Amino acid sequence: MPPDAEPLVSAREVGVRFGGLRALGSLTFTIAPGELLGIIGPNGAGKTTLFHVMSGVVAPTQGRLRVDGADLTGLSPQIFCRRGVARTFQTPRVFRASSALDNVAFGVRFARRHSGDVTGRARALLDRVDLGAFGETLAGALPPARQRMLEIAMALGTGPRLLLLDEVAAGLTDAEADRVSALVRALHAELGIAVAWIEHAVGRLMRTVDRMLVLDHGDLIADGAPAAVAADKRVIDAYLGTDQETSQDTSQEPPDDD
Amino acid sequence: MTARRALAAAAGAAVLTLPLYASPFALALALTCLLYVGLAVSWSLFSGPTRYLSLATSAFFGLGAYGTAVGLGTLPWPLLILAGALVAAALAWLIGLLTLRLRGAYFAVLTFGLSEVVRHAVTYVEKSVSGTVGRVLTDAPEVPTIYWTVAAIAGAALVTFRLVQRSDLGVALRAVGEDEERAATLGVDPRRVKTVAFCLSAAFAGAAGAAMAPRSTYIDPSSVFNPFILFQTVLIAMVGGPSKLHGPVIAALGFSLLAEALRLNLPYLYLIALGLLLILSVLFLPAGLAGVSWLNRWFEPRPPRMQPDAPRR
Repeated sequence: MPPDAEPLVSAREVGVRFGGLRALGSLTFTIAPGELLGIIGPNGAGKTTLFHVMSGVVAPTQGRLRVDGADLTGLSPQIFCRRGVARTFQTPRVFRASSALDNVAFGVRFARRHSGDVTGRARALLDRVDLGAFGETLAGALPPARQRMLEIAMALGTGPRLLLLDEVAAGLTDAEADRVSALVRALHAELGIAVAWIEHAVGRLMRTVDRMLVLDHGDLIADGAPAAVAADKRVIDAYLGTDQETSQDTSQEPPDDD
Repeated sequence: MTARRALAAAAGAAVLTLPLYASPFALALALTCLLYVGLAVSWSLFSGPTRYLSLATSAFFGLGAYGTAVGLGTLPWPLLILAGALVAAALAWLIGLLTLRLRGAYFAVLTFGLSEVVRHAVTYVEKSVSGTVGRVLTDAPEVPTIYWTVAAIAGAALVTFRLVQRSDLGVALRAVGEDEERAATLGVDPRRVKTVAFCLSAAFAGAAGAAMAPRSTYIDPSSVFNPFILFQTVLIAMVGGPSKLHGPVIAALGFSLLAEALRLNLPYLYLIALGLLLILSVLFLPAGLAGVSWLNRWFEPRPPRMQPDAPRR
């Protein structure tokens, strides 16, 4: 994309404090329309908090956040949804007592960006994430890995311009995680939407995305192409600790990987 | 399906023709039944799907009743009922503004506190404006008129409950009850849907209060803002199970008849017996009568879904 394009998301000095706890320091970054972005960082680095802020679930305690040209700082999740931000949750939050199909139809219906056959649209999205056979299954009865796929379909149902994926490949075998990577790339290409993807599996993420953000203790310590980020001294220190041997290849998965 | 339809039609006909042949006692008992059907169903309309425990029913009921006490003789009867509904809905909007951001016990306690505020405010206004607190109701309509009015309110509450349950609003309300934040990330405005349902629910309680006021020739704040009305409504809805329509209806009928029988036969044990009933139902029917599977199969062959039943444009 052209570098001077209007950013889809623009965060300026965004920070979050929970009482005395500093969850996010002061982050400044942009996301361009149609970008495929990876977000990594050790446990507790603030990745999920960043998603909470970018989807309106948590209001930042400092800084401004613009989405699609509008200042949405401190506004509610439904406003972010209407502006085209959709997300999944690290621990899936599906409507457990409803069918998978109804879960997907929910976003299609209430985000109001799709005019036409709601159920047909939901069915197509379920098919797209390979859950076509589970339309009538209660969402709560699906195993966690399938619930994560269901959450992707639910998010897509809202017709987003930015899709936030929070560890959708966690706990999967390599082969399954490969399929998820392929799916994310395919969705990104088909829909032309921006995708920001948090994953612990650093190596996999680096092979999938075009750009990486690295968080550590609530700060943004690196932002750039995967290869450049992998070679960054601060990133290596954050993952391996400054005391350790730093000659290891950081494109390998970190020890705390799922 | 047809058996249920026929039964519903027969029940409706019996309800509507009752004033023509029933004794005053039977009519009064039926009126109580209908009142609690209307109150419990309209309470469940909001509190059932959202799981927000509203304790403001007495305020809505009392305000409607006071509206009638003030307007009787000036306004025609249907307008009085409508005014009761509108005033209660307006109060619900105001209470909702203050409380609907809260959850769980905080919401319940604050709705109860605010309805006490309303009762005291009415007392204060009555004292400072008219000099006395109570009002004598003259030109009251006949009992059959009150009966048919309450029957219409109860019927409207039943129909509204079903319509909401099967609409986008109902889908959104159930989602708010299950995971409010998640519903919001998918585009639902929780404040808006909660406010709409809360006002709708309050309107029926206000209309019921407006219709019931002339049952007494004299009313004062402590008689119409009576917390007992709230307790009975919540008790019935909880025993019935507020997530389904038939639960509160069966519970309202059973409860009203039982309450009357207990009051006549065991006047001193009446409230103790009702308390025991609540404890037993919480222990053994945690989802209320609506959780009893054979009742569900008969009344609701299809469970409510996250999607409305009706095809959309």
